[in-house]
Amino acid sequence: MLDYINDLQEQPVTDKALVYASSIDEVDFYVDAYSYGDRTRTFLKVQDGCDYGCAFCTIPMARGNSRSDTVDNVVEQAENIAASEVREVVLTGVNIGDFGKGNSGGRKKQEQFIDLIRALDDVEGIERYRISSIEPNLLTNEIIEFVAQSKRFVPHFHVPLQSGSNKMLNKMRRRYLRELYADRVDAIKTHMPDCCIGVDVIVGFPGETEEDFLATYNFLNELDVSYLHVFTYSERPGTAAAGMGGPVPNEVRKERTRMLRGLSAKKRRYFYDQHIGSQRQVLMESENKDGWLHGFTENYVKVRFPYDAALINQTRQVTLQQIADDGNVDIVMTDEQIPA
Amino acid sequence: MTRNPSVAFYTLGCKLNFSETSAIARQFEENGYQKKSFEDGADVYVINTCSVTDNADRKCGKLVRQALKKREDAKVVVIGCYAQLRPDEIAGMPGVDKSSRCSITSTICKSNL
Repeated sequence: MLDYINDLQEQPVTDKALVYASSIDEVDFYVDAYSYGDRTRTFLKVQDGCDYGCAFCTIPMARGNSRSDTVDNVVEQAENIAASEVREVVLTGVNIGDFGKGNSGGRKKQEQFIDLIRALDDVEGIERYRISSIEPNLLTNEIIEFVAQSKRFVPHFHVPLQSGSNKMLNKMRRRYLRELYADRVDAIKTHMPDCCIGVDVIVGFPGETEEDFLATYNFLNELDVSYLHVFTYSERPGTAAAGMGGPVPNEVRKERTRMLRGLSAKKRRYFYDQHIGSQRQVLMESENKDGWLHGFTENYVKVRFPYDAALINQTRQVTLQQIADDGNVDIVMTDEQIPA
Repeated sequence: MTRNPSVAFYTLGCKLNFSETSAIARQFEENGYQKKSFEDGADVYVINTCSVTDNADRKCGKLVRQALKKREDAKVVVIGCYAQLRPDEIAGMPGVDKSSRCSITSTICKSNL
């Protein structure tokens, strides 16, 4: 990248923007990365690209096929992070459940995601890991059972659903049906009744009728999940969905988005309510927002506490008191500090 | 006397982009660049883009125009998913199309960091 910038400085001044395009097919390597600048949390890249062909998605065309870091190298980076003051690591990738296909990708897995999380769990000095997002068809019982007894992996999963209608899941070329999804939620909740479960969902995919949308709404309403990330479908050039008929009018997409966001607020409130009165560990963050400091419990309940710089990046044992008017949870803090 | 060059970053989209922007920033810093905020006017702007929705596409155009205006000699480098997918679309955006200070590069450059 730096050589490239130096080359740029020597470019003659012309009257148009410069384009250096290369084909994504040429990308057969992996580059590791993790975020910094936030004292509390880092996003650690473990995987890149995707071999799935979801009809709505443009990312495989932008990032190439599924490649991974090795378990050994991820552990080495986690050890570096452990030597810093960062307390929480979020495992990050495009399709992290597909971890293990090596630096240049391929059909055969050399390692498995479960191997990665087992190895990471033994790194001293990392207080918490979150698995950012994992496909339901790759979220095995083995992974769920491991997280349930893990020292450091917190009870929080984010699992893309995209639609609660099997007809739409087929059109989207997803690799599961709604029954599989419901079964995964059951498995998580059986092993970890306190677990937070987030859901990605798309509204307004081509051909989505009112009935299909209501199937999604009702499915999610019944399901024991904690919050939704709602995406309003938008046509992406070059994807299979862009060539499908039956576009949903924009106003309808917006209305469906609004409805599901309302459901999400309700779900989150219900989830928070279940934990009022319980004791949790909260990792406090650093930002002063209108006099409040915020933090998350292991199971992703967002709490607030009057701003106190001494609490930044501290983990405290707290009691969840009540849901405040801003939707976050007020807490009572004990003096007990949880060492990093 | 030569001063250290400065660089500013902006990241759109996912957690993966955030981790990759950090890795790129670290390389710049290790090579003597001073990191500045987007507002402060840097010698080099790196914008790491997203293309998951058309909204992400639109934000990219806005940011490139803002970066070009911060300093009249700043170089603006656009990387990431949108740059990989539709480099010519970015190069043709109003306010971007006439500026040789803006370059749009695909994944190879980002991946080599």
